[in-house]
Amino acid sequence: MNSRHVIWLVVLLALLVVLNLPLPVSLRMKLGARDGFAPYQSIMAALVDRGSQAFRFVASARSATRDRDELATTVAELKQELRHMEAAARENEELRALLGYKQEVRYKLVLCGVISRGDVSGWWQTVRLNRGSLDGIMPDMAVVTDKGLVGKTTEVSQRTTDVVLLTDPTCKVACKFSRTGALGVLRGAGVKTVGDTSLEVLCAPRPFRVDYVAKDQEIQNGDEVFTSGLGGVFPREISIGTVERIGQHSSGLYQCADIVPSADLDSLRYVFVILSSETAAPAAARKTK
Amino acid sequence: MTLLIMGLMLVVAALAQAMMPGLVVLGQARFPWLLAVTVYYAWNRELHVALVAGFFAGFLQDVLSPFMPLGYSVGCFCATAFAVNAWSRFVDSQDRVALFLTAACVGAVVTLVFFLLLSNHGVLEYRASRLFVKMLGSAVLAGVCSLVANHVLRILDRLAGNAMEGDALEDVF
Repeated sequence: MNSRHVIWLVVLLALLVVLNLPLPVSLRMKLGARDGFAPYQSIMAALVDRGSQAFRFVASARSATRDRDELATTVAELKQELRHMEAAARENEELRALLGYKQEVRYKLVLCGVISRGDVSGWWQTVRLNRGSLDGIMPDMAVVTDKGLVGKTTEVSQRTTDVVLLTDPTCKVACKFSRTGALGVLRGAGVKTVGDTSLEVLCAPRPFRVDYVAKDQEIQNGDEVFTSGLGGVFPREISIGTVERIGQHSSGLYQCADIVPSADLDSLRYVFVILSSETAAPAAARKTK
Repeated sequence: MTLLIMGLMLVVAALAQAMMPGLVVLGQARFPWLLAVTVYYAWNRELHVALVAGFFAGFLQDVLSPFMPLGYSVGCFCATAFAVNAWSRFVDSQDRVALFLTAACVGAVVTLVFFLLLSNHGVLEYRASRLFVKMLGSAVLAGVCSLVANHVLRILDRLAGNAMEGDALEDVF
């Protein structure tokens, strides 16, 4: 037996071993390897990000002066608005305290950067984050941006977290329509919106669909959709999107609706993982007791 | 030296595959750089070298993909290495059109095999109607990636003294 045959044999044996590894061992290997790759992926993501920023900067050089003037005006307006809102917030807090309004839900969030978009094999719609179990992240936690829901965490290593996006068919979310309170189950359609031309949008998934909406519930185009909190993974009242199209399921048993996502899933750079929801009683309310 | 270049290129290929977005017009197929590296070694080298490349390429794809069961890509890529290596004996290894067509066929077949394996394993919810577009996309991207990987790896191999231009690159491992 020469060295070539030995290599064939070793590869064959290794293949058999890999295929028959116990699940915890293979999961540990996968998570360890991902941790090893995470720094390089972070560097690559940062380079790509810087490159696209530089490109956008050069492309927008002409309009920079005009934008600066507009932004200065906007900042002045926003400062004025902020002063009004601070006064309104104080008044709101006092009124809440007077009414004995006890509960105010706050979320404990972890800010994460996106280090890779899409699953390496191309079968699932996922993103990988640069934070992991060392930051308190666990599987099945909700992931959001300031605009709305993004997805949920799946596999978590020490330094990375894989997030399955809402647009993936395997991600299902219990949701409700804000106007009527109608309930439904949202799942990804797995396809992107057509019509956009930028390269980044080429990797974007399509609006997802809400199924199992009772036939007697009225839903309209433009209705907002939020998480219902049922199921335990996603906290309630997180924005998901708005209704784009309504239809009947082919079985005729329930309604369904196509949804345009609130969060910009095409160009995620930073997201928040919701670690837990804390229910806090406002100080003013406690004082009145 | 061959192992060093192989390892380096596999890591670069894995990073590139993770970073480059899938193209929606091609069924969200991703650029299969790891498969392209396997095809290069199967096309130009002996079977045992191709099998080693296929094993590690598949292993990297498996560990970097969240839902992929460990061993599926390893098996597929080793089978690819075996098939392409056998086929390369019947065609001119310098012919780029032959390489493109072979890689395209491999890309489409590997996509179909993954679909069957993952659907059977219950980790994939994928409409069969989209499979055709994805197979087509995978075929095109596999062909393109293989040409690029072939070009780059040939240069690296020449620089490393593994082979001369025009060589069949045999017996250098």
